[in-house]
Amino acid sequence: MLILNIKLFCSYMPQFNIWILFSFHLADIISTVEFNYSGDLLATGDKGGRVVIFQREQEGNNRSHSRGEYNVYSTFQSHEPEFDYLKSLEIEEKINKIRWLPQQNAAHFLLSTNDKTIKLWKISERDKRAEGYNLKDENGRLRDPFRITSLRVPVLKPMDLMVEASPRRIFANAHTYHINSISVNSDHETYLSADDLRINLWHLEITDRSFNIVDIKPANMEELTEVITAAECHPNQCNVFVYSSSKGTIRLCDMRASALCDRHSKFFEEPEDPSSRSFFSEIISSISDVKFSHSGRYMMTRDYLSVKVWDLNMESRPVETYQVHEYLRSKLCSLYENDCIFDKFECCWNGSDNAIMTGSYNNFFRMFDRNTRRDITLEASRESSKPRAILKPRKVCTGGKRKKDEISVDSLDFNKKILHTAWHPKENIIAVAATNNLYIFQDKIN
Amino acid sequence: MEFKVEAHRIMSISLGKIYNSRVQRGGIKLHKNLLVSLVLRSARQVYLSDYYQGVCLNAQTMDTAQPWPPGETMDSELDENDSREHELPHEVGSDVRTSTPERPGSPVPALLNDAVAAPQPVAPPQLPSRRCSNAAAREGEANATRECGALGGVESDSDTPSNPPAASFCRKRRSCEKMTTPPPESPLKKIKQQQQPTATTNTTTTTTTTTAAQELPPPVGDGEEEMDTSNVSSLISIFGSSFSGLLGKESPASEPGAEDSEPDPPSGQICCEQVLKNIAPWSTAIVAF
Repeated sequence: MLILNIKLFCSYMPQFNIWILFSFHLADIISTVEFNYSGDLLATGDKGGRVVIFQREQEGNNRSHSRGEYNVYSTFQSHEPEFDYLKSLEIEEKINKIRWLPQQNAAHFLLSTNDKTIKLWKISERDKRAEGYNLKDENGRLRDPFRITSLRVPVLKPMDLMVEASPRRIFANAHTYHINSISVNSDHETYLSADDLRINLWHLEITDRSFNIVDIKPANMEELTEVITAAECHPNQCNVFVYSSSKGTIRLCDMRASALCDRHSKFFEEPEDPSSRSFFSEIISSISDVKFSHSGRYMMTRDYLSVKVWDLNMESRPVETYQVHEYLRSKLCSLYENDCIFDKFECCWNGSDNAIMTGSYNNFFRMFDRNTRRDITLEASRESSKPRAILKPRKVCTGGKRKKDEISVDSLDFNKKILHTAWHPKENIIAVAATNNLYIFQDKIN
Repeated sequence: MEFKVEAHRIMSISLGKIYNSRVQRGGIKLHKNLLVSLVLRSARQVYLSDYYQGVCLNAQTMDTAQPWPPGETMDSELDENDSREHELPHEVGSDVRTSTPERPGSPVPALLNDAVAAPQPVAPPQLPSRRCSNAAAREGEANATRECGALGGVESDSDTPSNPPAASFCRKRRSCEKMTTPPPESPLKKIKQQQQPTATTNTTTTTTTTTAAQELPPPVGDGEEEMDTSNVSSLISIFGSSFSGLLGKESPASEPGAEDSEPDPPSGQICCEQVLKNIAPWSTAIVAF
């Protein structure tokens, strides 16, 4: 499954020094990427229902250049294709989201979800094995009890590290529509799951019940005008969560206000610019991802062409707007034809909330520095860089004369899209998923 | 005029997407289908407004009954106002909903259900577009407002002042049977009916969505037929035989009885015919969804 592990030197964002690139080739298209709370583990889910977890090498290893390197830690099949016999519908095994739980003991726990079912997985290490059983011999064969003449106490002997993943909870049958988000609450006991029309609140220990906290399904489905596209719990207020809609609005809800949070506490919407209306205005305003900042003061939303940072205290408009690939605005019709306009890009904050990152096409991804307002476009690709070469920032030529090293909009490859990115919670390490390939950029401070 | 062509193209692409979503793995994606139906609605709005402007120009010069031009979407739901005497649009809507009570699916298939369930009146085939356009022109702003509201939801309200022709046009198209031509006074009758209430969201939304779904105007080829859409199979056969109209003739002056044998973009033709053939099972699938 893992084929290549290449280290390259790449160019950088002003605040970083040098990037080192690691890349992994996975068996299937990556559908989600997530660092855990410490950043030592990186989980990826793919279209085939598999989860691959990478672990960062601990400091102090023999080779200096392997310090901080990510390697495969565990691989397991999380979800299988299923068939809903009642509705005659196939349920895809694609992992839509992975969310880690905060670590409480030696084992690691994560939630992974496909369209319908959420599973809690325990990933634990086993590096010791008991030997000296009385009733079994070393090969596991049962010993003849009549031949046992003495008793011994089994002892633990070291063995090769084995990482095991076991499903501890399965949260099923709670969603009629396709699950698009899961989010662990800051109380570390509950989590929410959101589908197109409903949001449910679960307790991590209880699998046969969940509370429905948001339901936007109209009494008559013909009146449906918007769906839920993403939802997230507040990072430190366990009663607050937000959900975004296909109409470009975000609702913040307080679970203390009522059991059913159909009425929002805050409603975030930016008035539409009437001059830019087109056939596709509604599609490009649909929010594909919403993420709270680590501080909890801001949240970021991603729609098709831009990323917006909102202050939770101001509902009328975002405080910052960053254009990701405005040059696509004139191409919306073609993007509609080839379905690219429905791509759901994610976005992420860095650990200190002063930079944000999101993906684009042609394996480009963009980073924005909120303080200096500088931005950079980088390409996640092995072909475009030799080992020890420095990757240049990329630029898309939007019109007029194309400068050297620029790429024209028409030569962008729309099949190479970066939908999923993740930023290490503490350090300048980013993970970028480009179709089947996972790229990890690290800042190596000299 | 190029807007019309573009809108046309977008409508057929959207229909193709809606059809393909049915056979996609993992079931029908509600979000994507909702967005596609919104695009369909916007494209139809532009298409109709563009067309109406052309019709107005022609209306003054055209003589006698012309068959309803192909490529025009129809709202068969309100067409039934012909058959049900003076029934209000919202009642039609509710009847439709009553007749298909368990349709919790996505908007698009629900629309098709509406279209399907609505019986069509019997009327002489020819369609005096001139009469319709004149009748519609008399409607004025009030109906336009309601209509535009129906078409585009919140956003189109802002378009209302600039789009009254489209609105009236839409209503008139409803009143004018695509396959059949009502007696001369019926457009007026229908207009009066439509002036009655229900600017309710329910009705307008239903109307809109129904219209949006029925991108498949069968017009020319079935000029002679009695269109009975009270059951799915007849609707399918009607649409199937004349869907080519959507992608084929543009000219309002096309002859009645013109075939559906015109060259169509193959993908659009195939996908639309297949859509039509598969309406019933799709609806059933959506019910469960």
